[in-house]
Amino acid sequence: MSFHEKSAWACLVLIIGVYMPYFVAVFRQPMAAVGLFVAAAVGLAVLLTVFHVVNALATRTIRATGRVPPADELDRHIELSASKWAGLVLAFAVMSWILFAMYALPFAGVPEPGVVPLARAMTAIQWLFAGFVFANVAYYAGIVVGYRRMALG
Amino acid sequence: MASLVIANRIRELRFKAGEMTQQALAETVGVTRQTVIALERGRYYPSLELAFQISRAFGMRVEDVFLLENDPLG
Repeated sequence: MSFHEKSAWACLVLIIGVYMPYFVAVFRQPMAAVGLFVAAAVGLAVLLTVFHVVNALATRTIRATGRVPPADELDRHIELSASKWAGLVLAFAVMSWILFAMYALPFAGVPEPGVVPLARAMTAIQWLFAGFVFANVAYYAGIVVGYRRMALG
Repeated sequence: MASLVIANRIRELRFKAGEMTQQALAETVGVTRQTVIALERGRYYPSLELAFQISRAFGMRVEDVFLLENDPLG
């Protein structure tokens, strides 16, 4: 397994490992999520920032030893293909969310009896956020699948 | 228009070149071993630049390493 594939596996496992418990929690208790959302968003941002910094430093250090060659044309080809799939997933998620919001969420200002309950609004926000996470998962999964198919399939 | 199939003789030429390993060829042309594996299995077509580099590594011309299998022009 190449260094690039290992790196993609690490990102994929980390994202799933971090976000799955998060979404399970916020979709089960959307109201608790008001406080949880802020804490989790800050925690996730810190965690992912630290991971990406450590990952970038580790990658640079490992490459400096000369044992791992820089990304070549196959790596770029696989990344491009994965980006295309991730873009499709993101577009689908955002369009679905927009359609859902247009028809299912009567926001304040619309002549409806009452505004959107906070729990419903929070759930909607979480679904949009989940769309971005799905796109990230699709990107790293696309890279892993690409290596499996191209190099080892 | 039927898609063209480009075969290559990389695996055969590696063995003729003193059983050169995939890793050795990869290091010679500046790619990863996975790229050499993908090329040998015909799962990936190299760029012109890489095709020339591989051919040069074997001391051959590009057309002697990479072959058009279903060439419509014969």
